Amino acid sequence: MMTVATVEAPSTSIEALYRQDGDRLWRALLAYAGDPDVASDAVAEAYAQLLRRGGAVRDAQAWVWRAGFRIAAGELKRRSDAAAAASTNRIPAVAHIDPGVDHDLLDALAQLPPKQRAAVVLFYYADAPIRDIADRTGMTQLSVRVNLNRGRQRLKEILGDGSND
Amino acid sequence: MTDQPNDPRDRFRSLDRQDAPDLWSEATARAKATPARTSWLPRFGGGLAVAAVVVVGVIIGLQLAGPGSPTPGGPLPSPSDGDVVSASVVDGDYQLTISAPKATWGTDEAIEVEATLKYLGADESVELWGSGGGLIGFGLDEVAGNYDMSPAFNADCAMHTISASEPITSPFVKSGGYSPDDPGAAYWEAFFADPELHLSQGEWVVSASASFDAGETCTANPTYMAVEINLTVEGAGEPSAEPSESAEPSVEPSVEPTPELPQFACDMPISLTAAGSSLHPLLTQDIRVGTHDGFDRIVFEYDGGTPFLELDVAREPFVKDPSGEPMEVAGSLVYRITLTGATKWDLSGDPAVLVYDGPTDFEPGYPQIVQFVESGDFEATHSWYLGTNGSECLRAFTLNDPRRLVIDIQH
Repeated sequence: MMTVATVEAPSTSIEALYRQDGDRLWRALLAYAGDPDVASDAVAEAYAQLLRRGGAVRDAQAWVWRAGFRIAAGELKRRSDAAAAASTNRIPAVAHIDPGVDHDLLDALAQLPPKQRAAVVLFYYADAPIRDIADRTGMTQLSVRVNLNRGRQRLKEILGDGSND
Repeated sequence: MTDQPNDPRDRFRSLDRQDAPDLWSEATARAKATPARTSWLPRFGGGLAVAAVVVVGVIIGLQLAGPGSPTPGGPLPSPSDGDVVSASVVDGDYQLTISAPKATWGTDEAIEVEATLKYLGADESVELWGSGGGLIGFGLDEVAGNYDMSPAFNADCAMHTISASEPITSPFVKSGGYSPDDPGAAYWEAFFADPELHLSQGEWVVSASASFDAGETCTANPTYMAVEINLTVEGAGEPSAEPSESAEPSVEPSVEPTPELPQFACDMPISLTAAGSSLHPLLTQDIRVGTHDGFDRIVFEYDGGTPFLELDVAREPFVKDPSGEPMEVAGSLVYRITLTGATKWDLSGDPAVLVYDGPTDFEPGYPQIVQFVESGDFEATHSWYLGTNGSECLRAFTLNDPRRLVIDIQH
């Protein structure tokens, strides 16, 4: 017997999640990607994919953070590949950022490799434990520890402050 | 630096001063729209992929598992056991199964086929990346005839969760495209118009394919699996080139294209799949603009097919591809037009030939087209910006003889 599952998307609860958590995800992705457009694209796409899945996702918040970071990572990689031919490998300069945001921090983050950047942002901004960082980035927990450690070390060198907890 | 707090967490909290855009309406619009994102299309390779995705008869790297399959034991076709016919293939931690409730069908029956992708590994669940349209595709091959349909996958990239207890199951989905020049165009026109699966009399191989990537992206470590079953379709002897009668309103096969213009769409993005192309990028023969009663029109003319189109609202900064240099575009509402799998350069010879050497910056002063300007022609991706006087509703479609891709902007 053929069955076609149709799941009514609980868009109201997803919208509630977006209203509660969407800005935070966007800011985390801004810190990670260094580009508001990448952050916006990743957030919109992650929530669009979540909406398409409706009730099929068990932990919507964890899922959408995971999707957002991976979408942004894919976009950065694509840009990086394209930029390789154009002689620059840096992520785009930050623009349209509120003066109240710590620009030195964003500049420092932009100098970290992507995995270190993701680990540091999720650890410091999203207060995510190692296990969740691994979950959201696709890294192993060991890899998260290594990247977090190196990322913190590098941030400390660049910023010259007490970024050692 | 000395003014900055020492605790990195405090420095990160400064991010909270940044206003975040409200992206909810964008997310809901994307959720309703065709799940295709230009930014996920790999460059040049993507041009090839998109062309391959939609061209009947082009194999997109999917090798039907058969003798010599590297999978343990290869596919496991089950003979008609009772009524059910099914086959499975295992690759690593994944099992793909295709099944039908019986092996013999009538030409007037809606054939039921489904496929299931099961995760056999030890984790509770895993995330697989692949086409937003689904990880499973289907193919058809008429054993003694000329008709075949290769599995097609959208070239976007989306995450799918699969667990041991919740496999991914898909009913048969028709996919692919055809060229109006194809002698079987009438057959395919009727086939794709029929919401159910009806096949003409004969022996058919029905295949399911799974295409996914367990890595961070859709291109890191792709896995392809495919498996097939044989079905017999018995009928009253109608010509095999004709589609069978359906309970649904029948579609009159017609070799002549009868373009019925689509409605204007006010939800972006608009996308069109590529059609009737080859593995080589399409060559742009002509580009022209015009104004009509109620709309302005842009026409791209090609040889032999039409490329993948993505049309979406563009926001500043407008940039050239691939340099990223900023560029000015006039108009109060600007759209980005991306044509993947097309170029105005014929690179097959030495030296390369500029096939279309006409204007690449139009400012015709029409009611809606303020400026229509090329932003890039790079690695088989031809991109343009369209500056308008604020029209929010557009439509895109293709015409034949010659092959044209048309974009209308409503007045």
